[in-house]
Amino acid sequence: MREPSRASSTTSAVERIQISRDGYIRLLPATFSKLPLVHLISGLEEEPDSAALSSGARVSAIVGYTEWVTTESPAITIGWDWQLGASGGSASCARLGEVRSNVMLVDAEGYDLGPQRSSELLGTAIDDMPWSDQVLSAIRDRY
Amino acid sequence: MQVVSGTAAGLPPGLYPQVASYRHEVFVRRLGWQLQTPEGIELDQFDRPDTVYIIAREDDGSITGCGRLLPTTQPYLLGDVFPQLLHGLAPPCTPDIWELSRFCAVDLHERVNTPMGQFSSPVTVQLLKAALACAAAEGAQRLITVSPLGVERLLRRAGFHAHRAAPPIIVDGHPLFACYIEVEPCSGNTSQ
Repeated sequence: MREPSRASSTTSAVERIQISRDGYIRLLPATFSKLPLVHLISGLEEEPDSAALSSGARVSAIVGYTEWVTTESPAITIGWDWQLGASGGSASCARLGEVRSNVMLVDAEGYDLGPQRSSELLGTAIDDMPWSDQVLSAIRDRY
Repeated sequence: MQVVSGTAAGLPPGLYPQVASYRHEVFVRRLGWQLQTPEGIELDQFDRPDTVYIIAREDDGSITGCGRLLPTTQPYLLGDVFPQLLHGLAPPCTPDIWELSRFCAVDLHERVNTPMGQFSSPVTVQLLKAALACAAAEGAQRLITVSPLGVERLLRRAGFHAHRAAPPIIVDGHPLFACYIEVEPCSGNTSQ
C-alpha cells in the first residue's frame, strides 16, 4: 500500500515548500504554477550534435538551455532546453524535451506522481509561462 | 571489459597506482583541472583507506574508466569543497547516501573523447551501474555527485533516475550542480 510521501495539508504554498530526505521538493502542480521563477542563466548548447539535437532539434537550429530558480530557501531549480524559432514575425524560443528540476509533483493525497509524470506536467506549466523574451535577452547579453 | 571494485588495499596489485596515473591523464592533462597533485598521478585527501574505487579495465589491463565512492558520514568532496552547491542546505551525512566523484570513462587510446560525450558510451553506463550496485551493497539508496549541469540531461537520457539537489552555481560561466542519482533496480538503459 502506498503511503503519501509527505502529509498533504491546507497550508499556503509558501509554507508547503520544504525539502524531502531524498532531495526532492514535493509540490502540488497548482502550487508550482503560482511560484515566482527567476531567471538564473541561459546559454547556447555547447555540444549540439550530441545533446539537445537528439531531443528533436534540426541540425541547423540554434539550441540552448535555460535555468530558473525561486528565491526562497529551499530553492526550487528547474531547467530545460530550447530551440530558437519564429512566432508572429519575431524570434522566440520553444521548449525542447523534458524539464529537469528538484521538484517531485504529488497528487492531492500527497502521493508522488513520479519523475516522468512530474517532468511532463512541469513542462506543460513552463509552456504556459512567458520565458522566451528573457532567455533571448540573456543570450544577447552573454554572446 | 571488466569492472573491478574495492578499497585501495583490496584492489589487485598495481591497480591503485595505475588508477592514479589514469586520473592524472584524464582530469589534469586532458580536462585541464587545476589540481595540486604530484606530476603523473592524481590523488587527493579523499583517497583514503575507506574510499571505494570502481574501475573499468580491458582485457589487456588498460583502464577505460573509474570512479570513487565516499560515504557521506565521512569527509567528502561536496561537503568539504563545494558546500556552496547546496545553497545553505546541510550536506548529507547519512549511511544511505554516498558520493560519487572522479567519475570518468575515457579510453586513452581513442582520439576523440569529450567530457559530455562520455555519458553516451556503453562503458560509462556499465561503470555507473557498477558504481550504483557497489554503493547499494554498502547500504546506499542514492548517490550524490558534483557535475557540470549538462551531465544531468545525459544521465536521464541513459535511463538513470537523476535529479538536482539544489540550483546550479556558475563557475567560469558554466553551471555546476549537485546531482542525486537514485539506486534503483532498473537504473540505466540496458541497450546502452
